[in-house]
Amino acid sequence: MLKLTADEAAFQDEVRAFFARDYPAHVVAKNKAGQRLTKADHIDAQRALNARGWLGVGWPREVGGTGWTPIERYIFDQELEYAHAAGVIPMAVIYIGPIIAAFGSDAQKAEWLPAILESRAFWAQGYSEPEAGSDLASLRFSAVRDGDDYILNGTKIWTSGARWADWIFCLARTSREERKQQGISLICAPLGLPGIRVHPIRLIDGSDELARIEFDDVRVPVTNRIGDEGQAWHYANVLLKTERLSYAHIGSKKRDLAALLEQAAKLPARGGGTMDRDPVFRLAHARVEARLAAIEASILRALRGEISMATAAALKIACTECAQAITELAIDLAGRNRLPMLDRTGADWADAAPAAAPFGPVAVQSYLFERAQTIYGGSTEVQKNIIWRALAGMAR
Amino acid sequence: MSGALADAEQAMLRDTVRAYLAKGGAPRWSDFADRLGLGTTLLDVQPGVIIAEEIGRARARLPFAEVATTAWLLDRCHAPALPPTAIATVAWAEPGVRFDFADIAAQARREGDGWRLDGTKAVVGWAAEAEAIIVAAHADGDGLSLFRIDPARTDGLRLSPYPTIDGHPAADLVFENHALPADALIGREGGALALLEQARDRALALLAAEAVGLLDSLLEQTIAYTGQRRQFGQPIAAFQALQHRMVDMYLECELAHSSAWLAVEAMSEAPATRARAVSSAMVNIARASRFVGQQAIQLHGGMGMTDELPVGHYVKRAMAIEVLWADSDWHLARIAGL
Repeated sequence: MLKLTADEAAFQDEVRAFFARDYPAHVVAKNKAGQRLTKADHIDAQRALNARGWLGVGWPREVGGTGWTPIERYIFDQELEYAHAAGVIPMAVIYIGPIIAAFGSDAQKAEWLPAILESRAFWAQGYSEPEAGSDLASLRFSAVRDGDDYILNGTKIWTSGARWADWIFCLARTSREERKQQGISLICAPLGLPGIRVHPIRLIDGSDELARIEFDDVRVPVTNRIGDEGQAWHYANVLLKTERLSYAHIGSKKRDLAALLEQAAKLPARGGGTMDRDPVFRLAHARVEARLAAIEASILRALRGEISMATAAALKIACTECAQAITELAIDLAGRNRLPMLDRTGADWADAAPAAAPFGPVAVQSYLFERAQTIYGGSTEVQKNIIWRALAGMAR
Repeated sequence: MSGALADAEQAMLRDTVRAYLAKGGAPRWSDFADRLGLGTTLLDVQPGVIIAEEIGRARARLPFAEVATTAWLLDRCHAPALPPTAIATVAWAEPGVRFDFADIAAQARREGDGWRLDGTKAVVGWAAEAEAIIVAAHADGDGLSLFRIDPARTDGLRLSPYPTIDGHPAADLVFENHALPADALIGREGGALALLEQARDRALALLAAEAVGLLDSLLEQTIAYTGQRRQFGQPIAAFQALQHRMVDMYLECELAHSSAWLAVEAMSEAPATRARAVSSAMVNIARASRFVGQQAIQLHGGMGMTDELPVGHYVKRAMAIEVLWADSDWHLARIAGL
């Protein structure tokens, strides 16, 4: 069950060969050096994937997608991460693309999907609001019908990639219903419209990829709505079902754990040795590795069979906590090298602190940034509520 | 803290520091030292921990532990003191040193009347701002010695300044045949190891108190935020799961408080007793910092991730304190006698 079939193994070889031969080397080099990627880097990366027909992951074949099985998708993700390739920015490709493909109009499919695949349009996600985070269904962002238009008002927050995005898809309240999950519609807007203001949010790791976006009487045509009015909660859940395991990132976890051993070999231990021989570090490392092995097996089990809401929620917790454990191991390994706070924009960023190991600043910024993993996409606390509802049901 | 200072004096000092730091803005060290009348106070850990705790609570960006540790080293070496308003720091860490002073590789060679210094010092807090830096190096290849450096004399010294995660300034120092006068050597030649170990424990006692102030504030911030943040029609502090988490934070804060006492009261003990107490304290402080820091961010949700709120800045200062002089594993090894 946990082993790949012959066909799957052949596919894995094919993907591995692609990343070795046909993928932009400068993107890989930047990732390996801990340098932040630019939008141009992401476009280069996406174009290479699209040239091979591998950008539309999770999309059906008829709209230019890969049509992969869950296992093939998993293999692809893993090889991408092993190769230090750029993570596919999920907003357009993974989040809204499949919804457009499933519920969008023919015109939307014809206009938006090719623009995503050809990297002509980047998208941002407008879900959370200042007063609607864990309790997303209480959102207040409003879309009021005015002839053939909607007038949008409200604030979206924690929008990632807004500075690169051309479009935003928003959960918007189009009517007040008895249940707060009802009356929500999925409406798209170009970010350049009058009345939209994007405020970057600086995070504790020094990045500013998130934003708060204010809409003040923003007018969009009704044809920018995806699917039926009031059905967005349903669409979001359909997507959730197919995308539940997209945060697993087993490949990057394995890659990062392996990289820690390489870094440890370069860091001094007491008395002239190096940290890769330090038993305390090695045991801590092995502890995370053992945990990851069980998580990987859980993901493979889930991919081969049906997966319940409770299992998906449990795996979200396990995967994100494991990612955090790896960053924690990294800052512990880094020791005092975790101290420098450096801007990793330029190729020579590490020269700013010539006596510190460059691994340290990367590790500490990852540690800080990945604290968000247990907050976004349904916080750990919300996931536990979901799991408990299932467990309580067993007792009845 | 109990001890030499009467309770009333302690309370007065605490109030004075708190009132000064409550004025906000970015306090300057010279002004802080001047207004508090710091002088010989810097040599005494007892009032020092009260000041440090308030610095933590306010997350004031001040080189208190650096200046106090330098002042103590100069005093113990019978070297001329600096004015308390001057910033000063200690440079011991190197790229080839994890936390053991025995691994220090910097070398000072006798030349004529003075010395020539070679070596690299890593992530030295407040080095570029300092009027004096005490550098740990081997004199003529033997034993560990301390040299007082004037960073304004840049011949043979390359200084690369940058900020650290806690917003404090730091720098890497590369000495290449850097000329020092004869009196740059402070204390006994080759006899600095035990002194530096004691200086580390004193610095840690101050930093432990600062961490206590940071963690107390993180708990307060988290209680305040969860009481005001509403989701699902109620303040999120109404959820028992979150209440219990904050209680766990409180438990760690309480043990951190006690740990800071443990450290400060061990200052006058024999080296082995002192080392065990300080390391026990720091293991608990590190654990508390990790847990309270992580939970403070988690319970603040997305807001906890923002640079705008104080919570992340408090967490990052606590993360720095965890490794400034040694990490938890080093302390565990010291307790275990490994």
